[in-house]
Amino acid sequence: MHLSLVKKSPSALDDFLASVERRAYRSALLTTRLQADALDVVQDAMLQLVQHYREKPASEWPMLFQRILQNRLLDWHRQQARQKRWFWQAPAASEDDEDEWLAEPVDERDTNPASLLAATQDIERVLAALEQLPLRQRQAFLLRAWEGFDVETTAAAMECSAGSVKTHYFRAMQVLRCQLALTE
Amino acid sequence: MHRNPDRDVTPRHQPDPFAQALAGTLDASLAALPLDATTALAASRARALRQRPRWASWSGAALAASLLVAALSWQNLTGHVAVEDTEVNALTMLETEPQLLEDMDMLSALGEDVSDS
Repeated sequence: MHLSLVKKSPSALDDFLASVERRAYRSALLTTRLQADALDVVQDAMLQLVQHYREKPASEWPMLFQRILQNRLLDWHRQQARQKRWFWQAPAASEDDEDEWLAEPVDERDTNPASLLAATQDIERVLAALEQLPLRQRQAFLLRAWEGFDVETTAAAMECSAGSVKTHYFRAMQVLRCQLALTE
Repeated sequence: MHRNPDRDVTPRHQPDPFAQALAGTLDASLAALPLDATTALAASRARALRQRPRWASWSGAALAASLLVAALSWQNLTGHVAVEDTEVNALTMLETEPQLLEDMDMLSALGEDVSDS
Protein backbone atom coordinates (compact mmCIF):
# COMPACT_ATOMS: atom_id res chain seq x y z
CA MET A 1 0.00 0.00 0.00
CA HIS A 2 2.94 2.29 0.59
CA LEU A 3 4.15 4.00 -2.50
CA SER A 4 7.85 4.58 -2.73
CA LEU A 5 8.73 6.19 -6.01
CA VAL A 6 12.27 7.37 -5.57
CA LYS A 7 13.26 7.91 -9.16
CA LYS A 8 11.53 10.56 -11.23
CA SER A 9 11.05 9.77 -14.90
CA PRO A 10 8.64 11.09 -17.53
CA SER A 11 6.28 8.21 -16.91
CA ALA A 12 6.69 8.27 -13.12
CA LEU A 13 3.88 10.76 -12.67
CA ASP A 14 1.64 8.74 -14.96
CA ASP A 15 2.43 5.59 -12.98
CA PHE A 16 1.79 7.38 -9.72
CA LEU A 17 -1.57 8.77 -10.80
CA ALA A 18 -2.58 5.40 -12.21
CA SER A 19 -1.74 3.78 -8.90
CA VAL A 20 -3.82 6.18 -6.80
CA GLU A 21 -6.72 7.16 -9.03
CA ARG A 22 -9.07 4.32 -8.10
CA ARG A 23 -8.54 4.71 -4.38
CA ALA A 24 -8.92 8.48 -4.73
CA TYR A 25 -12.17 7.96 -6.59
CA ARG A 26 -13.46 5.58 -3.90
CA SER A 27 -12.52 8.10 -1.19
CA ALA A 28 -14.27 10.89 -3.07
CA LEU A 29 -17.33 8.76 -3.71
CA LEU A 30 -17.66 8.00 0.01
CA THR A 31 -17.97 11.75 0.61
CA THR A 32 -19.92 12.96 -2.42
CA ARG A 33 -21.97 9.80 -3.07
CA LEU A 34 -22.28 11.14 -6.61
CA GLN A 35 -20.17 9.65 -9.37
CA ALA A 36 -19.88 12.85 -11.41
CA ASP A 37 -18.85 14.96 -8.41
CA ALA A 38 -16.34 12.34 -7.27
CA LEU A 39 -14.78 12.24 -10.73
CA ASP A 40 -14.58 16.04 -10.81
CA VAL A 41 -12.85 16.14 -7.45
CA VAL A 42 -10.29 13.52 -8.46
CA GLN A 43 -9.62 15.25 -11.78
CA ASP A 44 -9.10 18.58 -10.02
CA ALA A 45 -6.66 16.94 -7.63
CA MET A 46 -4.72 15.39 -10.52
CA LEU A 47 -4.57 18.69 -12.41
CA GLN A 48 -3.36 20.55 -9.33
CA LEU A 49 -0.68 17.98 -8.58
CA VAL A 50 0.68 18.05 -12.12
CA GLN A 51 0.53 21.82 -12.44
CA HIS A 52 2.08 22.71 -9.10
CA TYR A 53 4.06 19.76 -7.80
CA ARG A 54 5.37 17.71 -10.73
CA GLU A 55 8.90 18.93 -9.99
CA LYS A 56 8.72 17.83 -6.37
CA PRO A 57 10.44 14.58 -5.36
CA ALA A 58 8.26 11.61 -6.24
CA SER A 59 8.36 10.45 -2.64
CA GLU A 60 6.32 13.55 -1.69
CA TRP A 61 3.60 13.00 -4.28
CA PRO A 62 1.40 10.66 -2.19
CA MET A 63 1.12 13.16 0.66
CA LEU A 64 0.72 16.15 -1.67
CA PHE A 65 -1.92 14.40 -3.75
CA GLN A 66 -3.86 13.41 -0.66
CA ARG A 67 -3.62 16.92 0.72
CA ILE A 68 -5.07 18.37 -2.48
CA LEU A 69 -7.73 15.68 -2.63
CA GLN A 70 -8.79 16.08 1.00
CA ASN A 71 -8.91 19.87 0.61
CA ARG A 72 -11.08 19.49 -2.48
CA LEU A 73 -13.42 17.19 -0.56
CA LEU A 74 -13.56 19.65 2.32
CA ASP A 75 -14.43 22.42 -0.15
CA TRP A 76 -17.13 20.23 -1.70
CA HIS A 77 -18.53 19.43 1.74
CA ARG A 78 -18.70 23.11 2.71
CA GLN A 79 -20.25 24.06 -0.61
CA GLN A 80 -22.99 21.47 -0.09
CA ALA A 81 -23.61 22.78 3.42
CA ARG A 82 -23.93 26.33 2.06
CA GLN A 83 -26.35 25.22 -0.64
CA LYS A 84 -28.47 23.34 1.87
CA ARG A 85 -28.58 26.41 4.10
CA TRP A 86 -29.55 28.56 1.11
CA PHE A 87 -32.46 26.29 0.25
CA TRP A 88 -33.62 26.12 3.89
CA GLN A 89 -32.78 22.49 4.31
CA ALA A 90 -31.50 20.99 7.50
CA PRO A 91 -27.76 21.73 7.58
CA ALA A 92 -25.39 18.81 7.48
CA ALA A 93 -23.10 18.21 10.42
CA SER A 94 -20.36 20.76 9.96
CA GLU A 95 -16.72 20.32 10.87
CA ASP A 96 -17.26 22.37 13.98
CA ASP A 97 -20.09 20.40 15.50
CA GLU A 98 -18.60 17.01 14.71
CA ASP A 99 -16.93 16.99 18.08
CA GLU A 100 -20.20 17.72 19.83
CA TRP A 101 -21.84 14.91 17.93
CA LEU A 102 -19.11 12.61 19.06
CA ALA A 103 -19.19 13.74 22.63
CA GLU A 104 -22.09 11.38 23.05
CA PRO A 105 -20.79 8.06 24.32
CA VAL A 106 -20.64 5.39 21.67
CA ASP A 107 -22.49 2.22 22.48
CA GLU A 108 -19.52 -0.04 23.03
CA ARG A 109 -21.24 -3.35 23.38
CA ASP A 110 -19.02 -6.32 23.76
CA THR A 111 -19.09 -7.94 20.38
CA ASN A 112 -17.53 -11.14 19.31
CA PRO A 113 -14.32 -10.18 17.49
CA ALA A 114 -14.75 -13.05 15.07
CA SER A 115 -18.23 -11.92 14.05
CA LEU A 116 -17.06 -8.31 13.86
CA LEU A 117 -14.24 -9.33 11.56
CA ALA A 118 -16.71 -11.32 9.50
CA ALA A 119 -18.85 -8.18 9.19
CA THR A 120 -15.91 -6.32 7.73
CA GLN A 121 -15.93 -8.69 4.74
CA ASP A 122 -19.26 -7.31 3.56
CA ILE A 123 -18.34 -4.54 1.11
CA GLU A 124 -21.73 -2.86 1.11
CA ARG A 125 -21.91 -2.72 4.89
CA VAL A 126 -18.41 -1.39 5.21
CA LEU A 127 -19.02 1.30 2.60
CA ALA A 128 -22.30 2.28 4.25
CA ALA A 129 -20.60 2.52 7.64
CA LEU A 130 -17.83 4.67 6.18
CA GLU A 131 -20.36 6.96 4.50
CA GLN A 132 -21.95 7.59 7.89
CA LEU A 133 -18.69 8.88 9.38
CA PRO A 134 -18.11 12.63 9.66
CA LEU A 135 -15.74 13.86 6.99
CA ARG A 136 -12.66 14.43 9.15
CA GLN A 137 -12.98 11.04 10.81
CA ARG A 138 -13.38 9.36 7.45
CA GLN A 139 -10.31 11.19 6.15
CA ALA A 140 -8.27 10.14 9.18
CA PHE A 141 -9.38 6.54 8.84
CA LEU A 142 -8.76 6.32 5.09
CA LEU A 143 -5.35 7.94 5.27
CA ARG A 144 -4.15 5.97 8.28
CA ALA A 145 -5.70 2.57 7.70
CA TRP A 146 -6.05 2.44 3.91
CA GLU A 147 -3.28 4.64 2.53
CA GLY A 148 -0.96 3.46 5.28
CA PHE A 149 0.22 6.96 6.21
CA ASP A 150 1.78 7.51 9.61
CA VAL A 151 0.30 10.08 12.00
CA GLU A 152 2.63 12.90 10.90
CA THR A 153 2.01 12.37 7.19
CA THR A 154 -1.73 12.13 7.81
CA ALA A 155 -1.58 15.37 9.77
CA ALA A 156 0.27 17.04 6.90
CA ALA A 157 -2.28 15.76 4.39
CA MET A 158 -5.22 16.85 6.55
CA GLU A 159 -3.49 20.10 7.54
CA CYS A 160 -4.14 19.60 11.22
CA SER A 161 -2.17 18.54 14.29
CA ALA A 162 -1.05 14.99 14.99
CA GLY A 163 -3.23 15.05 18.10
CA SER A 164 -6.31 15.81 16.02
CA VAL A 165 -5.47 12.94 13.68
CA LYS A 166 -5.24 10.53 16.61
CA THR A 167 -8.56 11.74 18.01
CA HIS A 168 -10.35 11.55 14.66
CA TYR A 169 -8.93 8.11 13.95
CA PHE A 170 -9.79 6.77 17.39
CA ARG A 171 -13.36 8.02 17.13
CA ALA A 172 -13.71 6.70 13.60
CA MET A 173 -12.67 3.23 14.75
CA GLN A 174 -15.10 3.43 17.66
CA VAL A 175 -17.99 4.39 15.40
CA LEU A 176 -17.11 1.79 12.76
CA ARG A 177 -16.95 -0.99 15.37
CA CYS A 178 -20.30 0.10 16.70
CA GLN A 179 -21.90 0.47 13.26
CA LEU A 180 -20.77 -2.92 12.04
CA ALA A 181 -21.75 -4.59 15.29
CA LEU A 182 -25.23 -3.03 15.18
CA THR A 183 -25.90 -4.12 11.62
CA GLU A 184 -24.98 -7.70 12.33
CA MET B 1 28.68 0.33 30.03
CA HIS B 2 27.01 -2.15 27.74
CA ARG B 3 23.39 -1.38 26.98
CA ASN B 4 20.90 -3.90 25.90
CA PRO B 5 19.82 -2.72 22.43
CA ASP B 6 16.43 -4.39 22.87
CA ARG B 7 15.58 -1.93 25.64
CA ASP B 8 16.13 1.03 23.32
CA VAL B 9 13.77 -0.17 20.66
CA THR B 10 10.65 1.96 20.53
CA PRO B 11 7.57 -0.25 20.51
CA ARG B 12 6.27 -0.33 16.97
CA HIS B 13 2.69 0.39 16.14
CA GLN B 14 0.81 -2.88 15.93
CA PRO B 15 -1.72 -2.72 13.11
CA ASP B 16 -5.25 -3.22 14.29
CA PRO B 17 -6.71 -6.39 12.70
CA PHE B 18 -10.09 -4.71 12.48
CA ALA B 19 -8.62 -1.73 10.58
CA GLN B 20 -6.62 -4.08 8.38
CA ALA B 21 -9.75 -6.06 7.55
CA LEU B 22 -11.60 -2.87 6.64
CA ALA B 23 -8.72 -1.76 4.44
CA GLY B 24 -8.77 -5.15 2.74
CA THR B 25 -12.48 -4.82 2.07
CA LEU B 26 -11.95 -1.36 0.60
CA ASP B 27 -9.25 -2.78 -1.67
CA ALA B 28 -11.68 -5.45 -2.77
CA SER B 29 -14.31 -2.80 -3.48
CA LEU B 30 -12.05 -1.27 -6.12
CA ALA B 31 -12.52 -4.29 -8.33
CA ALA B 32 -16.23 -3.51 -8.45
CA LEU B 33 -15.80 0.02 -9.80
CA PRO B 34 -17.91 0.57 -12.91
CA LEU B 35 -16.16 0.63 -16.27
CA ASP B 36 -17.29 4.16 -17.10
CA ALA B 37 -15.67 5.43 -13.89
CA THR B 38 -12.34 3.77 -14.67
CA THR B 39 -12.49 5.11 -18.23
CA ALA B 40 -13.22 8.61 -16.94
CA LEU B 41 -10.33 8.35 -14.47
CA ALA B 42 -7.93 7.37 -17.23
CA ALA B 43 -9.14 10.33 -19.31
CA SER B 44 -8.68 12.67 -16.35
CA ARG B 45 -5.15 11.36 -15.86
CA ALA B 46 -4.30 11.93 -19.52
CA ARG B 47 -5.76 15.46 -19.33
CA ALA B 48 -3.76 16.20 -16.19
CA LEU B 49 -0.52 14.97 -17.72
CA ARG B 50 -1.00 17.27 -20.71
CA GLN B 51 -0.97 20.21 -18.31
CA ARG B 52 2.10 22.40 -18.51
CA PRO B 53 3.66 23.33 -15.18
CA ARG B 54 2.80 26.82 -13.97
CA TRP B 55 6.37 28.06 -14.22
CA ALA B 56 6.45 27.02 -17.89
CA SER B 57 3.48 29.16 -18.81
CA TRP B 58 4.94 32.13 -16.91
CA SER B 59 8.35 31.73 -18.50
CA GLY B 60 6.72 31.36 -21.92
CA ALA B 61 4.87 34.63 -21.46
CA ALA B 62 8.04 36.32 -20.21
CA LEU B 63 9.99 35.05 -23.21
CA ALA B 64 7.32 36.28 -25.62
CA ALA B 65 7.32 39.71 -23.95
CA SER B 66 11.13 39.89 -24.09
CA LEU B 67 11.12 39.01 -27.79
CA LEU B 68 8.51 41.69 -28.47
CA VAL B 69 10.51 44.34 -26.61
CA ALA B 70 13.69 43.30 -28.40
CA ALA B 71 11.95 43.47 -31.78
CA LEU B 72 10.55 46.94 -31.09
CA SER B 73 13.92 48.18 -29.84
CA TRP B 74 15.64 46.86 -32.94
CA GLN B 75 13.05 48.50 -35.17
CA ASN B 76 13.51 51.86 -33.44
CA LEU B 77 17.27 51.54 -33.61
CA THR B 78 17.34 50.72 -37.30
CA GLY B 79 14.78 53.48 -38.00
CA HIS B 80 17.00 56.13 -36.38
CA VAL B 81 20.01 54.91 -38.31
CA ALA B 82 18.06 55.18 -41.58
CA VAL B 83 16.94 58.75 -40.82
CA GLU B 84 20.44 59.78 -39.83
CA ASP B 85 21.82 58.23 -43.02
CA THR B 86 19.29 60.17 -45.12
CA GLU B 87 20.18 63.47 -43.42
CA VAL B 88 23.90 62.89 -43.92
CA ASN B 89 23.40 61.99 -47.58
CA ALA B 90 21.31 65.11 -48.25
CA LEU B 91 23.85 67.44 -46.65
CA THR B 92 26.70 65.78 -48.55
CA MET B 93 24.81 66.22 -51.82
CA LEU B 94 24.16 69.90 -51.18
CA GLU B 95 27.79 70.47 -50.33
CA THR B 96 29.08 68.70 -53.42
CA GLU B 97 26.38 70.01 -55.75
CA PRO B 98 25.78 73.72 -54.95
CA GLN B 99 23.82 73.97 -58.19
CA LEU B 100 21.04 72.05 -56.53
CA LEU B 101 20.37 74.90 -54.09
CA GLU B 102 19.98 77.34 -56.95
CA ASP B 103 17.64 74.91 -58.73
CA MET B 104 15.57 74.54 -55.58
CA ASP B 105 15.30 78.35 -55.22
CA MET B 106 14.24 78.62 -58.83
CA LEU B 107 11.64 75.90 -58.42
CA SER B 108 10.20 77.52 -55.30
CA ALA B 109 10.03 80.89 -57.06
CA LEU B 110 8.17 79.25 -59.94
CA GLY B 111 5.81 77.67 -57.48
CA GLU B 112 5.06 81.05 -55.89
CA ASP B 113 4.42 82.60 -59.31
CA VAL B 114 1.98 79.83 -60.21
CA SER B 115 0.13 80.20 -56.92
CA ASP B 116 -0.07 84.01 -57.34
CA SER B 117 -1.56 83.74 -60.79
